[in-house]
Amino acid sequence: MGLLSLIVSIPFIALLVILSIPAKYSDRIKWIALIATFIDLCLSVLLVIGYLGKIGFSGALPSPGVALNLEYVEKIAWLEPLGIEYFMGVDGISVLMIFLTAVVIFCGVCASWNHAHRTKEFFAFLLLLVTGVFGVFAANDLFLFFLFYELSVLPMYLLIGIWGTGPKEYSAMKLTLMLMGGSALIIVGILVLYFQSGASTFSFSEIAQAGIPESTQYWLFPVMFIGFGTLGGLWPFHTWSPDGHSSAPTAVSMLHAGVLMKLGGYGCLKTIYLMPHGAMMWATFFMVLTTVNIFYGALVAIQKTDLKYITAYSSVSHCGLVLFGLCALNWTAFQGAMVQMFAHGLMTALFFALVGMIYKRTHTRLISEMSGLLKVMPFLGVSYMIGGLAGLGLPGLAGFIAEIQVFVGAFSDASISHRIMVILAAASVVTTAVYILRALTRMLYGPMQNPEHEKIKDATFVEKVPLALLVFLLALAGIFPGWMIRMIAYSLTPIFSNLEHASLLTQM
Amino acid sequence: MLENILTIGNELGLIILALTVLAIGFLRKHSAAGYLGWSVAVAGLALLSAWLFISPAIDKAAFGGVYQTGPAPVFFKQLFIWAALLITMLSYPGKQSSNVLPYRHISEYLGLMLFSVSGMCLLVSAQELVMLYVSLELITIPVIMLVAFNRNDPRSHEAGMKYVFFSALSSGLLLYGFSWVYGLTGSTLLPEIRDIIDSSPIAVTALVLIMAGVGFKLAAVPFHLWAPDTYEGAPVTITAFLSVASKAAGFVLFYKVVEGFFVDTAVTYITLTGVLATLTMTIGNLVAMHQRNMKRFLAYSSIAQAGYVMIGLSQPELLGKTAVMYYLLVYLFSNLAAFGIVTLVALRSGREDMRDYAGFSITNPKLALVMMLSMFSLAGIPPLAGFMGKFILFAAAAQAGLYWLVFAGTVNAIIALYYYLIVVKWMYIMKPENGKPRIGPITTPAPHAIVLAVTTLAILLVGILPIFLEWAKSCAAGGF
Repeated sequence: MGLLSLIVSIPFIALLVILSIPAKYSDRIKWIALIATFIDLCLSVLLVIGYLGKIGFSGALPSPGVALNLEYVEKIAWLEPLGIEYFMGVDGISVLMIFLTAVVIFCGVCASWNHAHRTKEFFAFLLLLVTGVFGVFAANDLFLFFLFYELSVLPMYLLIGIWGTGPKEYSAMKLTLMLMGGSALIIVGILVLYFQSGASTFSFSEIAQAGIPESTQYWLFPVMFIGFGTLGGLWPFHTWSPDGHSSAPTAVSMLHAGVLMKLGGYGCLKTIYLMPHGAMMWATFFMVLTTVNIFYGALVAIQKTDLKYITAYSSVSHCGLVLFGLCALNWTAFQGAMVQMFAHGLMTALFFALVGMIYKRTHTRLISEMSGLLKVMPFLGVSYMIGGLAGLGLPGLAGFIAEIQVFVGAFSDASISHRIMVILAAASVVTTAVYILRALTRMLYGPMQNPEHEKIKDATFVEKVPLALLVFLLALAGIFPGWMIRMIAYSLTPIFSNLEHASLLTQM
Repeated sequence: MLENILTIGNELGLIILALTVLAIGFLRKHSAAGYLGWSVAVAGLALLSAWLFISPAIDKAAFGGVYQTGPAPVFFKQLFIWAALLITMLSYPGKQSSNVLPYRHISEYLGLMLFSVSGMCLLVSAQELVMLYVSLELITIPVIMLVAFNRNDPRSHEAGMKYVFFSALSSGLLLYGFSWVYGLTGSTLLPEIRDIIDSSPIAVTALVLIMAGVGFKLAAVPFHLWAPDTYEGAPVTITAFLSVASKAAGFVLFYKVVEGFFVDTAVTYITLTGVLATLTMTIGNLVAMHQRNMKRFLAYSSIAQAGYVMIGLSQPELLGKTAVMYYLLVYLFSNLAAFGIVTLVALRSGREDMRDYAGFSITNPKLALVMMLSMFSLAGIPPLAGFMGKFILFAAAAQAGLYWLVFAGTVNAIIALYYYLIVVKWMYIMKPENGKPRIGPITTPAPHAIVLAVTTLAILLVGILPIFLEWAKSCAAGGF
């Protein structure tokens, strides 16, 4: 079994083990989940190091070519009547995303250590979900990709429905149906791609090499982009996100906002890769939508007083930046978008973990009811501050690396409309600063108004582990972004080869 | 002669089995007779299934080409016998319930069902119009009695009456269509008709009449009106039988008399099937959303499911047939798992309302898990079997270039997901009123447990293991 299959199957094996344990041994169940996710974390670190070893830390980029530069390939024929294969393999972007997933799920399990209600089922569904997420990033066969994609969306319904708070049934149903609506578009897209390309497999590279007729790309591109964009938080298909994320339990919000929304961005990238003509035609249109995304998310976040809603809307805004970078169809902006996926995953996981921990102590999520908390919980407070600063793009943290590349890249396009949109989007950094700094000052500083809050204790050891890990990685990615950018740049070549080829054709 | 008899050995075996089980029912008015009849039926069906499995599936004709078997017929016969076997096991007369109908007359009940199954097997092999029609009646008439089997229950009466009227009407339409076909071609043998028939307006009229007749059997919208009441009133196991086996027989009928005859008018019937499929899915789904009675809910869900399968009918190539046959296999297991739970719950607690299932996942975690898996499989969630089935159906339509049909199918899959999730919601999320679940812990008798285990395994594995799809494909290549 290859490394990728191992990473994907470990959570699933842990799930089977958990199912065989009676529900009353909740401690054992937690330990199994923790150990499994920890092993996955170690394996994903190995994967990053191994991948960097294979491509070299510096040196030339691969020569132009449409096929993806895959490593750790595993390929077994599966459903032969349709040419479906069990085809695993990673490029730098997927390696980065697998690493992110492993970090976030490990932190998520730590953050839900005190979970008490129907523990067995909770961890079982959580592990099923994460199996799907790993699978999506490792899969290179469109069918397999879609299979894992849906597997990672559906457990959300029960996770939110059973363990959520507030209007959980409504939120869970809305989230599931909207995301499944997105995947309905994707499945149409996959079938059209398969039959129109004439490739006899579902492999990404082979479909891209076979090429899709231009006329098909023109109508299929928006279908698939919206399909993936729904999960990626594309305005106006983002409305599941605030409801879903604010109703979900802590670990689920972390995983969903931190990783699942990245599946959307990742899918959009693949869509651009497969349909370059469609991408060039529709880029400006979607860029307008994503500009609204960035701006609108930040503006609504200013209005909200519930911490989870603030974080959820900031996710909409930040994920908008990912899609914005993609729509710029520019090398630097693509790099920025990918870094933003990584950075936002860490940042949002950190936020949701903190919100969960703070809520457990204060029993409120309204910032108006909190003040002066830094005195009683310095560790949590400082972590929140670092996360916030990363969110508003402070140099030295990961968010800055992402934003600067997206904006510079998108601005280098000569068209005026692009530049105006970049200016608008960049202006939202100010709005972001407003809602983040406001939340920070209200919550952490000033006199303590609620005497109940005097008794609050700071983070326990189990809580400190995930926070420290996330903060460390945010800083690492901010100070030494080289390894990350190397992996991303190495994998962008085929996508750009395809795009350039398409643009040459159009010019002729 | 002997060779002819050996060729129809499967059907003969079924009829002998049916007569035996019926005869056991006359033995004595004692519950032991019920057990005996039940055991004989299970053993006989299992043997027949094994025999079908080992006997080579090659083309073989009997009685001057009136009867023909081959890979595709064997596939369907196996499907019918499995369905009958699983449903017989679900009809196990437990100790508490041996005085209730239908368990009090279990031998008669199973005997009638076996007759219907033998009719289905004959239908698959029929190559002649009269034989086709007779086997169709052999399917329908026992089922009418079965639907009205709970004779003390007015709902069962109503169900029976509705089924009589509608099946008579559909038989009439079908027969009328057949007579036009005969008038056009002067032959009753299917292969001859296939060669002679053209695309004249008369042929199109016959096509429409026959489509309507088949539509009734499939419970396709707008010929579905009998289905919900019949499904709700019939004994639960018969509802399962109707929605799985009887429906599969309807698809066989389609392949024999629509796809087989009207190759020249393919454009007409493909468009017609596509429209019917879309209507069936959409209406079935929209109405299913509001159902709170589990049987009625499953009735509408199975109407919608037939709509999905009809997507595959609109693609006459190999992939279309493969998709239909594979989906029927998948649907057999997914639906019987759901019916297994509903039967068990109705038998043990008398509850049929969806709201009664609140807290079901706490009192019966294993049963709830099976029910959830079957709901997700029916909804088409990967990696369960239902997803593979739907994917291949959609792929078949996409191969024919019917993207609008794929789109209609996927949109309907979302609507369907909504109501399947509602069942999951009642089982897993909703808290029972005043904290006491209405359905207590249920002890599962061994036959039920076996059915649930088998169907669950099938739901999990049929989609993942490639062998099932390859089996469907190789059988579909044989043709009818």
